[in-house]
Amino acid sequence: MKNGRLYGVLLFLGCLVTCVLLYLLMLRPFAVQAYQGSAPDWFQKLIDLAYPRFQVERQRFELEFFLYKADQILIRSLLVLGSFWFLLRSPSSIIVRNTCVHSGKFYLVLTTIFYLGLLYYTWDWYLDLEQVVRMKPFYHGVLLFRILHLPVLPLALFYALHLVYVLAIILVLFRYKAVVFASLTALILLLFQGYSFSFEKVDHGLATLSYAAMLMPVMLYEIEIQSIQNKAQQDQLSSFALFLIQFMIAGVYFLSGVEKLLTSGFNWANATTFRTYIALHDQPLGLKLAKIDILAHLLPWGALLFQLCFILILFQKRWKYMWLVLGIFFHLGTKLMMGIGPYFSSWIFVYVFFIDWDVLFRRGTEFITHRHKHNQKGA
Amino acid sequence: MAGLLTLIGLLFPFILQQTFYPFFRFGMFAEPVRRTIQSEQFFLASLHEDGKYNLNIAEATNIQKSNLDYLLRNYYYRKEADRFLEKLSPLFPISQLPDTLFMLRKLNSDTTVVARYPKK
Repeated sequence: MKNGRLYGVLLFLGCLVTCVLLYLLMLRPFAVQAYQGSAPDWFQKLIDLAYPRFQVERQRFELEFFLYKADQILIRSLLVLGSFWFLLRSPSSIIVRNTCVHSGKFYLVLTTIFYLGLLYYTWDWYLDLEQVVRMKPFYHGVLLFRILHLPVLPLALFYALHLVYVLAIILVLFRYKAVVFASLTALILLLFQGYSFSFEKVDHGLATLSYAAMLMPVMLYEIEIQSIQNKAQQDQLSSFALFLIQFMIAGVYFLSGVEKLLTSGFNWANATTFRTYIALHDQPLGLKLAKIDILAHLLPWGALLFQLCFILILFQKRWKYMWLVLGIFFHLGTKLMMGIGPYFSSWIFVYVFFIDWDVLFRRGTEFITHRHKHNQKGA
Repeated sequence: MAGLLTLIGLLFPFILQQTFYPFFRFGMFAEPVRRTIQSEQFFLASLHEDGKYNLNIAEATNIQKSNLDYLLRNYYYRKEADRFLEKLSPLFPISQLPDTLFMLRKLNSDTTVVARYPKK
């Protein structure tokens, strides 16, 4: 057993060393050649496919920028592999430990709130689709669209799809073939977002919302199966997909923080960088607050620490509402100081996945009962 | 399966530092700020039959200004400014068709014409 583990470690280390050597001897020189425009055809095509902004950024940045980016791929791969090595030695126990168990009512409320929210954030997308059609000459499909050879659709077809999308959400809200229509909703949502990102610009505004929409059909499927199999125990429905949604949301914050550290180091959080970002966004409150020395030092550190630590919400349930409140301040802060996103951002809305609706019901019911008894006594 | 896809969706763009739609890279505002690049600005202008200039091309073409600005910058850096203007010119309504379209670059106090369509 001990030998087996030792061989495993040696094999793992051997793979790591091979990867590093392969990178240093083959891939890094190719990166230099790509910058100089003399890389082999297959490598150039690979870059065009995986890094479409390379041609734009090549004109703006020095070679060191791209070599740093290439080195980052290796560093990040090693970081991820190392994390897996420690965390995923027993995947089945992770699934068991992290499966969320709630009542049927909990899932009903969560689903209703989520799809109403989705409708709120996307009901007017037909206007964006008009833009897509208008900008057709500049259309350059996202990678997935290029693989599928998806062209810009006629406006009438976009409108029809939007109608189907809205109807699908309504049908999910009425629990009519919820899994099927939740899947259809997710598919059309991805299609529409894909079209709006096919003009070289990617917007992260609805990223966490669309991740949740992709996983919701899985959650609904889990609940449906359990409801059919076990009609008596409606208060003990488990869902791993709900944990995955929470993991996705928390993971996005964590990776945003890690990105900052890996790309700019701790310098990212210094007052000068902060003031430059504020100056670029030119918002009155931001400009005012950035002048206060202590805030210019504290706020970027606060934002960085918040992003890195939000993932604790998955492990320390007792403190989760504190993280949610901090998250609301974080997004409102970026709106007020930099003008990014709406006040009620979808990044705040997806916190509904962390709220314990069962406890809220219980407390609500207790409160109402207590009030009722109190009123009766008074009468 | 969903768990595996979730991990891939989070980690793949993180490692390759690219958005692979529908999976995003969350590197917004992560890079160190470069003042010279950020202070460079681009503008569009159109010259019409009556000799008047129009600087509000987003309104004339009914394209969102943020989208237009982003494309404009990218085409410029790819050295495709002429192609950009060529693609933009049919997007004007017939009543507002310009005689000439210009792309202008402003850095500090210098403004230069970097492309025009049609070329003369």
